[in-house]
Amino acid sequence: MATAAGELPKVARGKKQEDVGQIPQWKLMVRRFSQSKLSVGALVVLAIMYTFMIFSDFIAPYPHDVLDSNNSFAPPTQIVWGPDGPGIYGLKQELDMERFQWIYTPDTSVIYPIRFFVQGHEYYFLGLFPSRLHLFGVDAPPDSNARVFLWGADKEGRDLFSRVLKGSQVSLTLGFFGVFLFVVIGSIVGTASGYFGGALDNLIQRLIELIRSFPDLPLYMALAAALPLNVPITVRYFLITVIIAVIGWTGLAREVRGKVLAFRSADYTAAAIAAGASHWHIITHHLLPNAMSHIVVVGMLAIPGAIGLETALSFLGLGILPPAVSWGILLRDAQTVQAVVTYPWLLIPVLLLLVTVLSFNLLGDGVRDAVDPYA
Amino acid sequence: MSNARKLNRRTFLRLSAVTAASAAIAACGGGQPATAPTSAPAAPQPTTAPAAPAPTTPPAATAIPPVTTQYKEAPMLAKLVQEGKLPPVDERLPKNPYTPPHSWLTVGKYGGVLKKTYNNNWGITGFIHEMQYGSSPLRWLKDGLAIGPGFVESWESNADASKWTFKIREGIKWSDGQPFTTKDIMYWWEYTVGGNGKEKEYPAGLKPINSPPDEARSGTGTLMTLNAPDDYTFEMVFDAPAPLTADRLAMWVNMFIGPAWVMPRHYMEQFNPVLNPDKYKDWEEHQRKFNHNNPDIPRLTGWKLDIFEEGVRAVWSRNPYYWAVDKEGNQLPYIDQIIVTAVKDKEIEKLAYTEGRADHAHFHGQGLADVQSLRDAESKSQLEVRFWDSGSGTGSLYFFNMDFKDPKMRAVFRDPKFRQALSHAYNRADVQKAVYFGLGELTTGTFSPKAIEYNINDQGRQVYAAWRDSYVKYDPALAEQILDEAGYKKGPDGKRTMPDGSPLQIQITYGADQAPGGEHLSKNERLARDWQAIGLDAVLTPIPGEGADEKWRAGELPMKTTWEVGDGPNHLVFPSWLVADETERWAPLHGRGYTLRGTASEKEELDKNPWDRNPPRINRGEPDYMPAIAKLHELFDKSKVEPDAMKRHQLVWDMIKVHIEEGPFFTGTIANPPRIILVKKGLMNVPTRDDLLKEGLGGFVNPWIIPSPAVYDPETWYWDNPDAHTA
Amino acid sequence: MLNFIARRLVNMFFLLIVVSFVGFWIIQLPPGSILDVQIQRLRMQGGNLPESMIQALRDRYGVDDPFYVQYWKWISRSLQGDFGTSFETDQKVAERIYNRLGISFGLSLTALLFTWLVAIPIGVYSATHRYTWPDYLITFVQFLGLSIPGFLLALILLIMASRLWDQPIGGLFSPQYADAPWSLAKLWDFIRHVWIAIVVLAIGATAGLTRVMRANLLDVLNMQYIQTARAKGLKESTVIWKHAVRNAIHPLVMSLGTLLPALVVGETLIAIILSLPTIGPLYLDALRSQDMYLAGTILVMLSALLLVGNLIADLLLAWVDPRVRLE
Repeated sequence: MATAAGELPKVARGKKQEDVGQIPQWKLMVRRFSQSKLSVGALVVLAIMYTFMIFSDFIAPYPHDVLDSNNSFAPPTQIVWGPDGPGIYGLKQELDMERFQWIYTPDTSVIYPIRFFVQGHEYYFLGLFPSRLHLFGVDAPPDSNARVFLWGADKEGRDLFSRVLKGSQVSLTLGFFGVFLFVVIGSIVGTASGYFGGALDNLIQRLIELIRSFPDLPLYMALAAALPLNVPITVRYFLITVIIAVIGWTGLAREVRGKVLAFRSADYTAAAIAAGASHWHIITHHLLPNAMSHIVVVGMLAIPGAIGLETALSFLGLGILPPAVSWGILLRDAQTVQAVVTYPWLLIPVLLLLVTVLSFNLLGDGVRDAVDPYA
Repeated sequence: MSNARKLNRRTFLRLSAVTAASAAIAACGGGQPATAPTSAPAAPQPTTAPAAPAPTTPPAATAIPPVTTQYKEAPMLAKLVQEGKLPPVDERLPKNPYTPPHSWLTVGKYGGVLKKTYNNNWGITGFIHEMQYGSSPLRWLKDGLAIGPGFVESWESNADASKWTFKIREGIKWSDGQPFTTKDIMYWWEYTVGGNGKEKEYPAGLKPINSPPDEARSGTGTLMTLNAPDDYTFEMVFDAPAPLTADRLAMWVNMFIGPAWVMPRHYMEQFNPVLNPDKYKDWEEHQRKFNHNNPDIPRLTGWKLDIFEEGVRAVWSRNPYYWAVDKEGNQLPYIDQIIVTAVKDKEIEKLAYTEGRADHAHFHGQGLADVQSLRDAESKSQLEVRFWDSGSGTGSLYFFNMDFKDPKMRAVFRDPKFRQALSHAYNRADVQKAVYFGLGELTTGTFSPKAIEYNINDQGRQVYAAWRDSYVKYDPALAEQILDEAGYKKGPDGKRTMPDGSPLQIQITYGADQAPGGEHLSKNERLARDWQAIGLDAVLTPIPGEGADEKWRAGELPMKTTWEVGDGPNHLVFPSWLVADETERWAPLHGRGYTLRGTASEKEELDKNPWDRNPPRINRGEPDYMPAIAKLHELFDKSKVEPDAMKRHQLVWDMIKVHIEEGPFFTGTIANPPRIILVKKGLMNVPTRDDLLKEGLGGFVNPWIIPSPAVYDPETWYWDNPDAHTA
Repeated sequence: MLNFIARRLVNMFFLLIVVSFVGFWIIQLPPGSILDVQIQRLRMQGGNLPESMIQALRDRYGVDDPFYVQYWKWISRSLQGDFGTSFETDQKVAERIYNRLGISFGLSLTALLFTWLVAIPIGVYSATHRYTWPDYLITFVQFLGLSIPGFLLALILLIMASRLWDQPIGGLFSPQYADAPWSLAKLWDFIRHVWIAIVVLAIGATAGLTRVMRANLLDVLNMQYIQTARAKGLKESTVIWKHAVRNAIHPLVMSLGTLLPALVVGETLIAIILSLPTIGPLYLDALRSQDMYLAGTILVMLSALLLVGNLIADLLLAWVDPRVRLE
């Protein structure tokens, strides 16, 4: 293994030797990034996800919150080919009183056609323009109980597909602000602490220890309880993500400090100091670039953490809460024995969450390699 | 271990032969067919005897010298008696032991282990205590319709119910063999309950830790005198009628849940700071020892706690001194041991049930929606799903805070027309379908339909029907009409406003920890939809649980939406839904004012706004005091000193009339949905709903004051094949 | 050196006092108190609590005292070794924590050992074989492990295991072993109860650690001394393991400081799902119900672990890398 390990990096290095000094750094970064096939794949997947998120209200055939006891736990709808193209059957609902379960049988006498670019419920596109246009919908009278559930319905008879789309608006945006904030604070403080050392370092280290000892949970609880009742749930959650960032930067700061400590005693830093370079120059040109790969890895790894945290906080009644919808909420619906055993389509959001987090991880990995293109 | 078991089995063989015969006889009369063992026992033994056609003389019994004791006991105890470690069973039992009277009971077999799970820390010791009625003076029978003896054998009162005399069974012993007498009751009264005069003898700075329970006060609120003329008699003497005394002594399992009533004096004395002033400065150690999770404390219940590992498990084993026998004279309980495993998460507990890892489960933690998974797993789990009536009067309910701090919203909430309109706008049938699978009956919201006042005669039944149907009809047009007439007109944006034109928003508040898909959240979502449909700005508002109680008591929260009314068996022992007499329900400030009547604080802070007082409260006669509540308080005060039962019922009906005319103060969905009970196949003597209907009301599991399943004597449960149910 | 340690220890003591004070203040910050929980339970059990009874409870728990009085009551006794009573179960705080400490450490240390043993070699391999199919596969599988929420994975594993074989649900031992002396059979029974927790904890941690290891090693491999080492004609395995890995391991050592407290409460949600009696769920419950003495004691214990961990990390770092000075 060890001998083989020596061969491959050499090959990789040999290939770029020719022009590595001549082209701009960003081109090198793009080149390096595109070398990682997994990361490029992840970028494509995320691009698709975000496209769906932007157009989610247009793509979703139903509102995410309309209750329909006639379709409680309705399975994914079977699409059939009718005279007018694709269509669906209406569902007959019966109660199995022995097992307390709703049983659905398709009424095959009529096929209700699926139409594209139809008028449906009103929404605000990107929160700005009112619209009623939807990608698709079923042309059926209200009493036919013919609704298209691409991914089935939940306990309240709400369309899971529409809910996943709606939830992406929260889950794919909100948590990242906190991550961004904590990465910025963490790297600045960590660098300062490691570079200047001495009393400042000591002070920062003690401060970090103090902050890390804070019980964060009661802080969230206090915040949640202090907010007035009419603050919307998403704003509430946003405030919590900010708090998380404000007390969450400490781990990264310590790690960055460790890095900077090591590089500060490197020869090139000593040379720069001897040459009279300013602190700012040394930090931005010699220390930060070296610590950057670590910061990027930690930051990217924090994104799945942020998504996971949303789930965990929802679990504790502090995160996003129904009637708002997020993937964390949908995950909570799926986190039951009944879902796993009887209504497996409720696990679809888990799958999506997995793909998203995985993609962010792979993307972060690619970016990590790319920001250090001379390797 | 296995050696001991063999020895046990020999004694067991002898005994089971005796009991087997009686089981067969009982089976013929009792109507409960004897079931053949489901899994083959290791060795052939007479446990199959019940299947044989009525054997006249059990063959094994003739081979063994006749038993000389009057009563029979479990083999594990018989062995201890032989070894001289335990007195004979006759000496352990009182002169006149308790015999569970239920009609469904058959004579059982000794042995086996009952496995349970529970999903919180309290449950693994607390709930098992809740399953045992052994420390209660009296017991509810027939789902609360009657009262029978407990450790109190007989009781009587004078004509105006102001003096009550109780005789306890002679010869009852604590689980460590020490005699149980009225001294153990007096110890509780004198050392832990305040206000009886004894605290004058306490060292300076030491105060009693508890205040007197409801039953210690007469209808006018003055404290009783408790006397114990001899070891087996105690008297409660009041200055005015205290007609509900017997009911109240039947409430709760007592000792650790509800008022204690009994404390093992010989054990507790060593931790008492009054008696050991050098050793203890406060009651902390005393309180720590007097806890259901303390394995050392002697008990009066059928099982005693052997091992308690917090967050892990609890092991209970039979109390050799339990003072009850079956009708053949076999000492109860039949089952040797109860092993409770702590499961932290509710979903995991469900998994444990579908995998058959528990032998019994009371309704906590499982709802009707779980029946599907439980039924599907039945062949593997061997757990049968049974339904007992909940006795709920409302299902999931909602109510507004009559004492909401904001004066404008308060005026809206206090307007009966507003509440009536909202009740008509509520599509209960949809909730009934979505949450309760179409079960139960639609209701405006009442006390439990099982309450005595609704079942006593035709007039009672009419009162119930009138309250149930008062505002139950789903009629959005009528609702809109009532709101329009009352001045809540629609503004230009289609949203209804207050009569003065200012915006009106209803925050449907509930705890943020409500499980998605649970009954309360499902209901609340529909409530919001139905109210929005008539033009109201109704917003679902999850709130953090921390501090919510305090906010409610101060009138800072508008609604409660996650409870249900399950109380009974009569309105007056637990009247809080009917009358504002405490701070958790629909009129917290009125309730606080009521509890503080006659105290100094009734005269204090009168110049302050009721919401700014400490604690917030509204006194009788103040401008914010609602006339309807005044009427209810007046009727309630009369009922408390009325010795005649029929007249008390009449007063309750009068109070209900106020609820119909000026209500609804709390609004329900459906009445009496079933609760699910899980019973392992082969666990005998656990009643079915039919058994309960024959004798009582089909089960009544919701209220805590009728401790279910303790009222059905789990000490009589037994395994048809005990050898297949060992640890 | 000794001087350094002594100074840090003194610092630590004062910091702990500050932490305990600030922490105690934060714990009592949310409205309500343990009394709400108690009253709720007593009401559930005993119906109406008369005002006098509530007052008796308030006195007993001292909830009307200003928080600094409550703090003083607790800290002055704590310094004498009495951490007070947990209101929730009426047990001694020390007893409740002690009962759970062993299992907490045991579980987490096992998972940690597992993690480091797996993560470092894989990270090295992945860094030295960048952009090869094995690297892609390792990357993908690891991120998959990192992406699944631990508690969901635990739930699914538990459901599957209990369907496929006789997986115990809840507790640490089966009843027949609970009170038996240790034996091979009992050990096996114990492993059957806890394996899911260890696997889930390790899967999450391994992925993260491997990525960090890989990234650090890639940084180090660019250093001139590595090229020098190669130029000297050293064996590639010596270059990697002796020169590169030793330097790449710094951040991992630094993370030790945060590791100790994480060992104790890191598994909270997983422990809830698997009903394991560890410190995490206890801490969570204590915070939520404002069981002040219990929550405060665990908080200070965690801080102490953090501080000790940081000290150890600094010492280790100085040992691994002589360039780092202890001043």
